[in-house]
Amino acid sequence: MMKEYYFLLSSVTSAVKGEKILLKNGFRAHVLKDGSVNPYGCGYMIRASGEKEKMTELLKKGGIRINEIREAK
Amino acid sequence: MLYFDHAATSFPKPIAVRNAVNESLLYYGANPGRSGHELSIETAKKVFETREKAAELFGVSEPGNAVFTSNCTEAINLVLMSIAKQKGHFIISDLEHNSVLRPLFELKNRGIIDFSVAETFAGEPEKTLRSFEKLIRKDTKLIMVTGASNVFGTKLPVAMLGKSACEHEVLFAVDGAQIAGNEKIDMAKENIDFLCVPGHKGLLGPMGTGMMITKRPELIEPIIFGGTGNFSLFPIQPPELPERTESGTLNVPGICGLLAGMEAVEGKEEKIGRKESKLANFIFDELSKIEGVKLFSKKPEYENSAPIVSFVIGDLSGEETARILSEKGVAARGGFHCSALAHLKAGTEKRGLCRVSIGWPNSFGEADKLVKIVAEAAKN
Repeated sequence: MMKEYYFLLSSVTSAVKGEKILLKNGFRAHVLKDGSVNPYGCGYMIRASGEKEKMTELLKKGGIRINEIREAK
Repeated sequence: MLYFDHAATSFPKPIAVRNAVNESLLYYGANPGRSGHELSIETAKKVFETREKAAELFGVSEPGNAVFTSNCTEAINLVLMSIAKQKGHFIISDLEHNSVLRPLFELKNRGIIDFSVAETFAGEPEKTLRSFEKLIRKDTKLIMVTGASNVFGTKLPVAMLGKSACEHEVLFAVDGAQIAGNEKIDMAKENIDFLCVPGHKGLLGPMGTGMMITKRPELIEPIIFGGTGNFSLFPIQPPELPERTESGTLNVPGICGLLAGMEAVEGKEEKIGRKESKLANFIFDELSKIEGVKLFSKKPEYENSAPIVSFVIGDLSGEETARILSEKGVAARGGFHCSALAHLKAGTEKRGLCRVSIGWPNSFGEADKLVKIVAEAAKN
């Protein structure tokens, strides 16, 4: 089973942009907000499943600043 | 009513724009970037889609560098106040709107910056370019010009000025109020660092919308501070655009309308501009035949001018001329058009002018009616 990750971000703009990048590249991803998971002052993050390194590379290439990546339990 | 006041705001808006505003109130009614529920996130996606469209339309790669403002004036202030942090010297043209002149005048009065006004020459781009280049100093930080005069329609050689600014390592900003939507603007090709546009003129969106689009986001500083939906526990503004400069709830209905407006003009900018110019040319030619009408703008050819014709009847002032036309059902703008520099340049600072500005819905039939009304008014 593919692992799921939370990409913790700093704004809703980054989250929406990041979700689009991941969906365009065939990953399952969606934006959500949870201040208890993302402590970076906005709560927005992307929950996505797939290869972490590949997703991280795509997001960084797209100019998304990732604060932290956590494995979804 | 014959509406010829598109340089102030386009009217009526296309059906797609009206529908988009209505739909936003039904389907995008939550606050974007604030909450985690579905409606808030869907609204944030719609807002981002609008940024993407603006980035695509004006040739920048990062949608997040398209910042929403309430109007073009706020966008211009955002740029000028940001670059003023570097102090130094600014150059503007002698056709600038007060939205450029007044912030700079204020900044100069506060002892923060100095600025010079470059003389422009209608239809002589090289001469205009030299006029700007002569004023560049070692401490010049920014050149800002209007794409076209809102009083006379005169277009400035934006691409030439952008290239020159780049070569002199000076930042370059454009007030696109009179050209966005009826002329293709490519910030990359034209070396534009900052583009300020109203959403409600040629882009056909609702009033209360505007954008500042930039290739230099690191230089932009907020002028309004407050809630942004992120970095909530910190007393400082977030570090990145667009949230950095978008404190307070966004005008989502306006933004949705603006998206529909941009979609309506996308790829058709030149076609729209040329159609408007044909009408402006017709009006110019016909008004020039009427005894008692004094024209102050030049023949509005598309390459050199926005679709604007400025004139007065007899010894009347611009306001009196516009009032007489208004009584006969014509919406035109009289007075000084918030452009002290342009009126001083033309020597019309006492009587003002009546400005007829053409937009996408105007027809030759309407233009013909306008000419007949002016002719009738000039007889009396």
